[in-house]
Amino acid sequence: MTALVELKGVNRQFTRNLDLAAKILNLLGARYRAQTVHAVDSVDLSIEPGEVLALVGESGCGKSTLGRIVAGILPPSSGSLAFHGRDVSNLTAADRLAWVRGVQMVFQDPMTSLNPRKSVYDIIAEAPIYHGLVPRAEAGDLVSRLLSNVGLDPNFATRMPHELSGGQRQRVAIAQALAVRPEVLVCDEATSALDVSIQAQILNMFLQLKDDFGLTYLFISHNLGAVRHVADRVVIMYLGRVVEVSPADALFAGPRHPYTRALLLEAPRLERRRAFEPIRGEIPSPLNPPSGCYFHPRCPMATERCRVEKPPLRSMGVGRLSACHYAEDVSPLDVAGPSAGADLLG
Amino acid sequence: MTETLRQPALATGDPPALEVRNLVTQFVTRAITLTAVDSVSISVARGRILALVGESGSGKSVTGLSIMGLIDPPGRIAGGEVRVGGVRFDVTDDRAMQRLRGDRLAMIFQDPMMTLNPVLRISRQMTEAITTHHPDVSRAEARQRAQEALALVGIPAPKERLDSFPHQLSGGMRQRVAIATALLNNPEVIIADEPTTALDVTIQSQILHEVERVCRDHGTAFIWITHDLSVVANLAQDVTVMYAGRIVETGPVRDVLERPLHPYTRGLIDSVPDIDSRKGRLVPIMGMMPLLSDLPVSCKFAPRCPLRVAGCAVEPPLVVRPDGRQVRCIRPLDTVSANDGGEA
Amino acid sequence: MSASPLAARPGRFRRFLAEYAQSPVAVVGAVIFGVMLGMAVFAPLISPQNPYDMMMLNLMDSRLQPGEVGSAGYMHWLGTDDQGRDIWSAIVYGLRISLIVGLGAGGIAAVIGTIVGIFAALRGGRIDSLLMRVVDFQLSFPAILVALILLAVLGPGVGKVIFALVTVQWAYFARTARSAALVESKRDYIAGAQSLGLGQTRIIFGHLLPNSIPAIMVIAAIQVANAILLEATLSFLGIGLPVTEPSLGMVISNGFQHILSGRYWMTVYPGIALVLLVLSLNLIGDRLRELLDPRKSR
Repeated sequence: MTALVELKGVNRQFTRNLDLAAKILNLLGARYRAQTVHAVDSVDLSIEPGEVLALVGESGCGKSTLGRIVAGILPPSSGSLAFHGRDVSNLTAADRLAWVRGVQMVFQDPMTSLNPRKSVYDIIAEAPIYHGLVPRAEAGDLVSRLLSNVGLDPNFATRMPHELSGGQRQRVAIAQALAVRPEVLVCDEATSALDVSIQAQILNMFLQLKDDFGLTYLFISHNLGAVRHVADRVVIMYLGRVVEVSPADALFAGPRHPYTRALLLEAPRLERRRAFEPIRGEIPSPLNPPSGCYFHPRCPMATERCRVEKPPLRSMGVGRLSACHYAEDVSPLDVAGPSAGADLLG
Repeated sequence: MTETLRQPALATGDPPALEVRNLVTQFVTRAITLTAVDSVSISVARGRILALVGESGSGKSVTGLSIMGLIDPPGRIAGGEVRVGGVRFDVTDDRAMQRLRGDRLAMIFQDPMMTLNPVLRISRQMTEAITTHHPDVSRAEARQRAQEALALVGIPAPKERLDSFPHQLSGGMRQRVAIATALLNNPEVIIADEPTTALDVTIQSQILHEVERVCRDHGTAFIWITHDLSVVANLAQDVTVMYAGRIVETGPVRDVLERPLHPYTRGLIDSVPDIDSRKGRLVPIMGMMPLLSDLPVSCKFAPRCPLRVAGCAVEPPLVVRPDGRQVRCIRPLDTVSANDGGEA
Repeated sequence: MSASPLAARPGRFRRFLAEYAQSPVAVVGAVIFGVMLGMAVFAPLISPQNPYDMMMLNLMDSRLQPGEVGSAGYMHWLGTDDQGRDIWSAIVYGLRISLIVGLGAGGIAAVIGTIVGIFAALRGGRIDSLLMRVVDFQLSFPAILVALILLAVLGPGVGKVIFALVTVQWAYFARTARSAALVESKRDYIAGAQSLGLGQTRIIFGHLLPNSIPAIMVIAAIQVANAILLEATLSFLGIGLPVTEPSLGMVISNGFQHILSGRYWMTVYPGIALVLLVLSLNLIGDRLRELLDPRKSR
């Protein structure tokens, strides 16, 4: 079965070029350099139909950028993106429309993700009317149905965004995305800005909608609990690179990358109070990433090799990939501290 | 690292580091008066951490700001007492509060840029915090203390960092600087309003670690305001749960999280997806917290409560139980069997 | 684009007015402006004479004090000038011209500036840099100087004055529109519109522009006031408007030479009118700016 969405070697850089003033100053002897951030660094990713693929990482890991690339909002700097097996840079007009509609995005901040000057009705109905998916006369029915699907009373259609709470706005945003009948929903931290009890409602709703509408999800989040709850497969990113890919249960039972292990150990839990050593160091700036393996300055297992050689993503079993030279040696979660038998750096 | 905190020995009869009794904070507009904090009483002993838990609209942040005397019109403190180290302070007396703030009472905010002035070097801000309250301290000594505070919160190369501007530091670093600034004059109480909510998991973990150490080593009392129950589980000893401006439950963290008494607390716990196991459906609390402008006269949680009965039409009082736990409910969960539902 | 069966809510505008009205000072400003606008529109109805119709003037009526009755039999509440023009009538007709010039110039400058600003914001890169350098260049010249030079070349006339004012003012609008467009274009709802596959034109006119307009409205009020003042200055200097179509500035100018001889009314009353007009516009502009403060959760 072909993957629904397939990314190969996708890169995305952001460069701040020198402006005129800096160029002139350079001629006079200054040394300004254009700054480039490799937000996404040679990522291969495939999203299978019907699955919930979680994209997890901390600030600067590139998950949001990758989400926007998948949703078609941001073009990659290089690499290819295929939808239903066909390269999106090379589509017929009809296929292109199917792709544009086929992948929709739900954003993190409910306060800015809706046009403040449009009513809920307009927000939801605009795109399907524009694309001719529904005649204007029937749009009212569509809006009512979608509002019910997302748990809102149909008379919310006359309201304006600022009259709604965060959770209600997020539901409208989801209804807006569903209105064009997408196949894939990219949820970019869609529940992070919401209160705990509302998060739970929305997470449940995501699962329900998945069944009702036959959706596939790219679920971007830093909240490991939410990820555990919804994901089938998990991709862990660090500073723009994919460091681990695994089915969810296997990942949470036994990670195969020291960064994943640290994330799992350090996420606070409701139950047991853990005695742990927090991992040292700051997340490096994406403008100036470390050499070799990006994680090596903070990694308890790092060696000289890690400093010099970028680890490739290699297979660790069925559907499992890890970008670590010592992936086999990553300690299980119930053993405190780094693994035994590794040369420690510093 | 030990599992639990050791508290510095408390002589019996020591007053709590901070005690709040029946605090009432209102926001008065021409149209309506909203009671954001309705008769809240909390107390924290030296060297302990009290978590103040609630969702948006619960009044937890306003409580913190009220204690610090940082409520501006149209808000006003309409009642209650605040005692620091057993001595009563009038939070509406701005001059008295200015002397307390930054010295014996300090606050950390969610956004470190609410503490740090972007155009001032950190050294300037920190030394100012010291010399404002202790004019007899020389600048050199103030600098030294600032440097030590930075080291205390785990900032590498503190001597060099001291002269940085906030924008030269990452978010996690800035928050550490904000914490260090709060610690400068060895306050007795620090009120922290969601300081790690915006930070990454690994950084949050580091900061929680530092905070625990400070609390243990210096006997600082913390009020940690948050909506994140898992942080509460790993940091605080006591927890107070707020809903619609009122306290609905108070008790030791382990007890409250393992055997909650109030249906809202239970609902919150059930809403949190667990990393360690894939639950079935999460059981969220249906509906939303009422707006302050639209509070029912009944128990404020009753409209959403699965255990609601006719008697809930009257607001229950906050009951202090023999074991010291408090709950505002006529049907606390340990009196309700698994088969009981609600009526009405 | 919304022909929703659940109609466009009338509530939105009414709500805006209610919020605006929470500041009594701003309400006063709006009322004053409204009254003066009414005065200008209904000028022929509320003034006893058309002061620029030569037929109606009588030199016998010149330099009458406020409160004196003239030869035509009616009271000159504010006196007359040295040509026999009733000052009240002169003010009311002068308001017309001032407002036509001010609103005209402000409006046209707003449209041109907004187009340039939004274009620059969306294109970015070199075009943006280039356009903003042009804006900077324009703004570095004192407005009065540019207007004087232009009018010296073009000669007198209402249209030419408006042209000169537009030349001077479009740059402010361009800058503001560009900032507003840049801010709005980064917001998620624009990315959402792109994700939904809405066309570029639809996004610009249906999403970006409507949300940028509030910022532009704020400076529009103030720029209209500036235009009126600038034109008054030009008229005072004797440049720009022809004698047959005087604005308040010209009325003030005509009366100015008499001030030292004690006939204050010829200058002071039109002066007060001008101040009230500009002040009311500034009050409105200030209130609009407060209402649009981004710290309000919207």
